[in-house]
Amino acid sequence: MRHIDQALLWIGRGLSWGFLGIVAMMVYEVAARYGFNAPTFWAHEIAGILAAVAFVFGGVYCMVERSHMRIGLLVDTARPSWRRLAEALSLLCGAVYLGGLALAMWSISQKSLFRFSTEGVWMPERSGTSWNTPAPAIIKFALFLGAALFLAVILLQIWRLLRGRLALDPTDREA
Amino acid sequence: MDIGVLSLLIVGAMAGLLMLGVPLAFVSGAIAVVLAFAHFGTGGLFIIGSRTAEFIGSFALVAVPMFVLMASIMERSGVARDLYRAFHVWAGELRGGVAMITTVVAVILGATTGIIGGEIVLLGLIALPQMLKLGYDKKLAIGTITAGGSLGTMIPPSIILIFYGISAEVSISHLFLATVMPGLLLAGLYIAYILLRCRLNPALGPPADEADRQLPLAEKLALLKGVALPLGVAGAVLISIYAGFASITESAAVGVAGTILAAWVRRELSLEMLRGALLQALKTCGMVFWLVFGTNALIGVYNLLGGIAFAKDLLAGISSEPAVILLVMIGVFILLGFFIDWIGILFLTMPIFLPTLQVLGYDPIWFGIVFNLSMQIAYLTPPFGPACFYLKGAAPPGVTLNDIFQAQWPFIGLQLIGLGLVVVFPQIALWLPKLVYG
Repeated sequence: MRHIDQALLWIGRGLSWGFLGIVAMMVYEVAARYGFNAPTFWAHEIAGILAAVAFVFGGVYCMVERSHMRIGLLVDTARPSWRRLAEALSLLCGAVYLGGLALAMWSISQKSLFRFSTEGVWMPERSGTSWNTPAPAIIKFALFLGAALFLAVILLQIWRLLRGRLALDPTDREA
Repeated sequence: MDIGVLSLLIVGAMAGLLMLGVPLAFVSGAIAVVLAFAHFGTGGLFIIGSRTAEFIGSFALVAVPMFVLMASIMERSGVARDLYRAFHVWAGELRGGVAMITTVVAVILGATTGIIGGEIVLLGLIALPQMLKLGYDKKLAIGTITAGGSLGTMIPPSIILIFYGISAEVSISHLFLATVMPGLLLAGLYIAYILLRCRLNPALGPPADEADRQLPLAEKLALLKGVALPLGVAGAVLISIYAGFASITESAAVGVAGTILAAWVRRELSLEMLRGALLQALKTCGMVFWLVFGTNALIGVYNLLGGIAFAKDLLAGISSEPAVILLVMIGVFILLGFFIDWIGILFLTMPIFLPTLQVLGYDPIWFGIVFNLSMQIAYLTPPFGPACFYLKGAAPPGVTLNDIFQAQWPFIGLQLIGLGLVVVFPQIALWLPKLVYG
């Protein structure tokens, strides 16, 4: 099961390189605009998608690492049985939130992504810029995928907690 | 259910879950889902999804990872250490001098970062052992670092002001200019306090070692040269934003490229370093953005239930005197600051406060700076003072969390003085934007 954690962390590390991609595109955009008076039509749209995907997946990454911001002051010094109870409450809240969000994003991204004309031509929601990419549809679908993955990680941790295999480390998670 | 009772229940549930250690992102998100589902059925979840999708589509947000990346690369290079050394050898002989230098270095580092964590850790690693070794008063040394390091969001660029600018729909570059003088005012108050304390009791802050200060001039200049390039990059980013050469996101991205270049020139660039910085940016964004998603969802649902209108009426009904309402708002910032993070406070309170502010006729730019100053206090106040925890992670073994908490009070007092001055004299914040943009 730890392979799932490792795989998710690996994906996160991969997606973090998207930030460097954004840097490169923005530098190119500024240089093209000022140096050659030829601003790009694509840089902002791709950068927006890359960033959104990284933001969404960053939450999954922190969940795998169990580093989401919380106030551990009262709980982390409590008896182990109480701590497990508090942890169960945390995971339950997470499951409720991410379950709701994933459900909502499923119908929203479906409406945005899987749209077809009467002839059956795919016509997703588009950005309306000069390039007119399906960026909004992609971002909404990424948000659905991210929320679903986030939920899956939480369910996995609930399962581990029930099996007594979840490490309850009182690390400095309040940051 | 009556909206007043419901509001109380929401506040109670939030406080309870937070205290039980539930992550902040889940607390507000779960309450939002339960409320939406209970009142509107599955269709109610739509508001949660659409608000989240709408928020994430805002391009100005891309500036956040860029500023985190810039700070992260700067932290991983030796710039901070060199900067500290450079100032140290120039002004170490004063009583309390090293603490004052730490404050000055904190301000300069603040201009290169828009977050506080890294700066406090850095100063905790570099300046704290140095001050303790010289025999500085523990509390004075600790407070200087937590309060000074917190200036990272007070001196532009500032992630807090980016998020405030987005939610209040005001110019982020105006906010960046308006925060300069109040930030320097705070730094000035800290320095004056250190000076005064060490004048009254010289034992609190002994001068630096003779040997440390006796560097040949050539070496002193070499130290300065090493920090000139990275600081030049940081300065150029701010100028580009102020002058409107490029958007904030573009300026920040070019700043990242410049910082990478500077690290390369300093022969400190490595794949390892870049990897670490990128991952740091991913994690910071993951934490901060999911917190926003949750609170944003809660506010959306609360608004549908008529809660915002109710809270606004409640706020307006406190007094017919605008100043009293303003003080209540600041009081709420400070009170919440004891328990939750700035981002949670921002997204929970602003949907209620900002419309009220407009009715009362206060300037939203100035109010952003008032919020920013209040968050300086929030960083230090126990039991949830992020600055204290950052320092604990980096402090030498002899420094306990209790030491750190106790060291904060005089600096919290100074921050209150600074906040009071900016509230009474809004010009402190507003004259610089007026001077530049007219």
